[in-house]
Amino acid sequence: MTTNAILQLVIYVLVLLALVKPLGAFMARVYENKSCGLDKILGPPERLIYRLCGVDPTAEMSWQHYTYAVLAVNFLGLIVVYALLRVQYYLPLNPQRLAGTTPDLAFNTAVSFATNTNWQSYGGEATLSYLSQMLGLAVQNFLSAAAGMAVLVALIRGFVRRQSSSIGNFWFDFTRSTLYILLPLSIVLALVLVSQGVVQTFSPYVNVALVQPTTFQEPVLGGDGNPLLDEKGQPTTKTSPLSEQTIAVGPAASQIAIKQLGTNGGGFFNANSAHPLENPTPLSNFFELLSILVISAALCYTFGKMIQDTRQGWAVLAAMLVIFLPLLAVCYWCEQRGNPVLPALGVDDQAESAQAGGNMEGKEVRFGIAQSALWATATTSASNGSVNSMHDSYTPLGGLVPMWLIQLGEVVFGGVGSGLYGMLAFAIIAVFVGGLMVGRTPEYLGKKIESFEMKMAAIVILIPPMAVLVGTAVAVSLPDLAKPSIPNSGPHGFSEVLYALSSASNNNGSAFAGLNANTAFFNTLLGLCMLAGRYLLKIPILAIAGSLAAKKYTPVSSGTLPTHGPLFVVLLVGVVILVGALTFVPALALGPIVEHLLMVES
Amino acid sequence: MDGIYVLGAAVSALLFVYLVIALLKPEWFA
Amino acid sequence: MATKARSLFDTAILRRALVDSIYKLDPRREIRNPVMFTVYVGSILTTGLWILSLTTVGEEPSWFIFGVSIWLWFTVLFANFAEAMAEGRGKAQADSLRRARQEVPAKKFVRPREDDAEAPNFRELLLAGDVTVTEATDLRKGDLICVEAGDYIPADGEIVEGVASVDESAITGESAPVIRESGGDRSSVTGGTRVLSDWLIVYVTANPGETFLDRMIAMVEGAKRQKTPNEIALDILLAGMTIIFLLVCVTLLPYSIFSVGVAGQGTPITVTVLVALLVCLIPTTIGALLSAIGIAGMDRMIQANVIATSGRAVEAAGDVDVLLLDKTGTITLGNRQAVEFIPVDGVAPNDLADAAQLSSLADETPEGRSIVVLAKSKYGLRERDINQIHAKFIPFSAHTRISGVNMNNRAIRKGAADAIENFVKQQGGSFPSTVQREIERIAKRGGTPLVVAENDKTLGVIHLKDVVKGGIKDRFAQLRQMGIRTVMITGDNPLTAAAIAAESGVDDFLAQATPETKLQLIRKHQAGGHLVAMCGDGTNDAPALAQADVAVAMNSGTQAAKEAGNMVDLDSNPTKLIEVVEIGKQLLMTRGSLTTFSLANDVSKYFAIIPAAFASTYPVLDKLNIMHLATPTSAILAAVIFNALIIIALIPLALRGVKYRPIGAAALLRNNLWIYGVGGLIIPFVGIKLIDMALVVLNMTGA
Repeated sequence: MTTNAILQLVIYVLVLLALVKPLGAFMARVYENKSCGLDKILGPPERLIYRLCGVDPTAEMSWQHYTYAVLAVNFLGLIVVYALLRVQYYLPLNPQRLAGTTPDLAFNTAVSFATNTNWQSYGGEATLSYLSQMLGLAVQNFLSAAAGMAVLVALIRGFVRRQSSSIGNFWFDFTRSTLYILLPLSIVLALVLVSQGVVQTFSPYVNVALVQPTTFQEPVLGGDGNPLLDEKGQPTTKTSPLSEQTIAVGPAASQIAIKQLGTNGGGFFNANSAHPLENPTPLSNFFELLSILVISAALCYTFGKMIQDTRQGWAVLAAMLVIFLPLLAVCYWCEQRGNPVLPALGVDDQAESAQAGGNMEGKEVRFGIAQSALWATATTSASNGSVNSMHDSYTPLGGLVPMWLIQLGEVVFGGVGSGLYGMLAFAIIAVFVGGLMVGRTPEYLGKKIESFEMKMAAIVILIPPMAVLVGTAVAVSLPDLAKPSIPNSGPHGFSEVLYALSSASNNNGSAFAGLNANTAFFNTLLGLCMLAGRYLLKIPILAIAGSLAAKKYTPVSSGTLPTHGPLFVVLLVGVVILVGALTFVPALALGPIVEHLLMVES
Repeated sequence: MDGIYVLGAAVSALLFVYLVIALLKPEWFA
Repeated sequence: MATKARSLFDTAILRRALVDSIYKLDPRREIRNPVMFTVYVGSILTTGLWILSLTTVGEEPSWFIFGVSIWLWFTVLFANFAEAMAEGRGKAQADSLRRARQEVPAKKFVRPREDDAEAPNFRELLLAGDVTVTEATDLRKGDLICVEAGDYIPADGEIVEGVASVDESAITGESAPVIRESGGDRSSVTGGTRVLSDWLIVYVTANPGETFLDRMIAMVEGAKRQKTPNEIALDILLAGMTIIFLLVCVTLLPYSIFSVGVAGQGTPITVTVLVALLVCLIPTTIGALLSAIGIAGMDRMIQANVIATSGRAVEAAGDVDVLLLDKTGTITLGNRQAVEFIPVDGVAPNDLADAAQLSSLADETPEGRSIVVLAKSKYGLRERDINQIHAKFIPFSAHTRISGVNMNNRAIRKGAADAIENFVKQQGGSFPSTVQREIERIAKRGGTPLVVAENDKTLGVIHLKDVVKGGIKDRFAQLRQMGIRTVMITGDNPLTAAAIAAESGVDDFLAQATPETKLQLIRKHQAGGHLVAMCGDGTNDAPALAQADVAVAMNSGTQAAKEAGNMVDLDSNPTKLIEVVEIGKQLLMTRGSLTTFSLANDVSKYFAIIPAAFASTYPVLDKLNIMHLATPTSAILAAVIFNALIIIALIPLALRGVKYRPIGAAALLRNNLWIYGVGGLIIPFVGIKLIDMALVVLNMTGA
């Protein structure tokens, strides 16, 4: 590790941790309806929204009612995005006259954004009009994030309330998440990004003359639009001159801000945050990176604040860091070490003042290895999925880190709201086993964990691995449908499929982008996995919230398992790691692990 | 060989259904 | 118990358990346990594959499939054996209890006619021979029966009339007879016990099949055993883990086929290996022992001579965090003892001691004896024979509330302050104010003052002290460590109660307790989310017992108390509550620890099986074979064999339970995580390696 890299990583983590308490405390006040400093400005529009929508923000909801509201909002969003993408050709703000997308791509993209996954089957600038980006994707970026945060708040209320039949009001949580938290932070971040050179414009794409005109092989198209084939069955091509380049632009900064903050990750451009107009400078990189984790991390403090025991929140955050930091180190180390076979061939890949060294394939030179590894680890630990380097090009073990972080269930930071509620489901399992070990019927935060909670927590833990494993099995067993999408031979092809299914099922959205996922088969399969990974989790989580809220509070005694100390952190980390490892070790052994062994062997 | 795979798949499908019931309705097996 | 406590591994029990473990292969039994049912299905599947491999070409060598299959069957059998062992001791006890429930004749009263206005005199009815002799099985609730010396009591009941000594050894194992009498707190009798002297008229309170003995047999036998709530919750977790591992193994086949395709070498993983992997991964250790742990927990209660009405009650005991304890008999020795004589000004201490001793010579109560002893030990006054000194004993009566002696013309009396005050004033004397002060001083220190007077003169005060049981303070400190608050219940006044509470170290007390205040106290604690345990024996305890979460009724107590409680302590020892709580905690801890152990085991099994399973496709995976197991075949067999043997190895732990020590939850968790978590990670590496080495020696590596 170079000193420079260590400094970059340490500064990032320190700044992140410094923001946890102030932002977390602010969010707690937002959800508890206490004055938070923005009431003067945002109070009137908030009340106006309630009046326009005809909702009573003080009406208490049962968990079932709350669930219907969450699902309704998301379903509506899904329909709107689907429709927008299909008919974007006929709508305004489409200077490039981009055509409507295929049904499977529209389905995949709509699901992807409603579920906060932001899997990019679409190709950003090549597929979507400005209107689709703004009204479809950007809006869902806000709403899917807010829905996740609302569900978390409902779960926290489940712990706080005693013998209550309701868990709060969804419209209240949902509106305030958007209006008081996501919107102000996005505005600030968008302005910072614009200052760094991120584009924000409605003008059409710009054509510029190439400094160095060139030629390329262009396929000859027949009357039906398909390439003509020669006698060998290969497409025929002709040489064409190339003297002009089209530079895609658009209202990017505003969308990138929420894509980072709301752990969405769907890029304005296909290259996501590796694109120079999405992420031009190291400073913009730092802020985008920071905003990936900041809300998820701060929500831990919000949780502690709302249950009136901040130690509990810090313990959960500590558990996340205990998993995050070593994996970050591994990822960085693997990338900086590069391919161990190369030095043997006389290639100098050491880090020096003149070169970054290590494995720079698929990484941007303006970020280097430390910022790339940090981004890869952060974006996969949070269910963000934006990228500033191509994970597909990482070394086998370097690429295993992001994949495994996703497979852990997106509970290490995780999506805004969804990460913490997933982690709390793991905490319920940990408390159950730990509680038994100290000779008591398990309880967490004063609430007894009984068979109903166990059932729901087990479902939460079970669904994502199930979707990943079964989805991957389906994909690799249908060679006719999947094989054409897998360009890489050998175990890496398997890794790519496994990564895609892991990413979709856990609502991450990043990819081993070698896989061509924009086919009817993958669009549908991944779309279904995204739906399962989001809603089949939210429903049991809300059920837990409802069941906990109805319970009595059990006072803490010296016989109670303490859930705020290092011991519990170890237990929680153990459960997360063990479940993640035990579930995916065989699959990983056939993918990245064997890739690594083969690489070392050769 | 394929016959064995089919047999294995059928058995595990039934087992899966049973386990899901055991998870959701444990009281049926109390 | 009628039988002596049997050792855990009595040969008779062992033999029976071996047979039972075969019977338990009944699929209707196996299906109740999701984890073991999965193993069961796997065993059947691999057996089928083995038979197939004998006829046609199998996917693996026949002997290997057979080896896997046979060890899977052993896994199932070992689990059955664990359960059978746990049940064994109970079954043996049930048998001896059944012998007590033999057919006995019952002497049943013909009911008095409806128009008989006079309450019937049962004794007269009995003498008139107005009874019919029927079988015990014909008795119904509400019948009146008569039991005479030498008779077995045919059914549970409440004594309506009579006093008798009863041999209850069939139930309690205690051979000394006990007195049972109508009215009061010792009025219940249990079917199957025997009247040794006198006679009783009993009102039958239970139908045949529902008697205490029947319930007890069902309990110790585990016949009606239902899964407890916590067990169900754990079953859910285990079912969830099993589903995950089932999916892991099932999907491994297409992954393997795909990998063979891309690697261009090897053969796909076989179904036999997948089943082996599945069984190794699912939490079989806890799955196999779960039911045994529960039964053993109930059994430990029975060994402690406590009969719980359900496993649920045993489990709740572990959660108790408020303990209501009666002062008398639990915190203090039953009797007060004289510790000091305090003479009134002008009276010589010796005179007071002499008078006190004289007044108590014929007083056979423990308090009276202690006065005589104190006078002897402290003032050297020898005990005198009351007849030789021509003294006439005046016994204690509820009316005067004093006792004493008349000798010559001395009338010596002792009693409560106000009673003596009356006596002295009647004699024309006065009651000095210094006495009043002494009385208050004694009360404040938790003592009971007794005033002694001779004729019209008040001599002084005897300080009777409640003696707190030795070691009880440490016990309460332990309970506090366990997170349990102790509350002392006493009929004493608040002053006395506070003093004893301070001396014994209880956390709180309820003075001048009445059944209503007790009930209120329990409700108050429960509303605060606490789980309350208490014990009681009287009919007036019944409402509180019914309200408490864990209610231990004394076997000597009334029928009402026994029905209200969810446990019966056959020894009628109120301190037993503490043991009950420990047994409950032990039960939960054993479950948790073995679950942790079971899951931690999986890591090593991956290291054994994964390289072996893909050896032909990716030979390079052998780098993960860190145990250097001989061959892929031996690696898989070793993992399966270890997985089965660990169940047998852990049966003693499951039956005895993980030891509970009151060191606080955090320390307990740390210890158990080290032992069962870290231990569970390491032990299988060693075990699998050893078994692999043995397989090499036996030449069963397939190489």
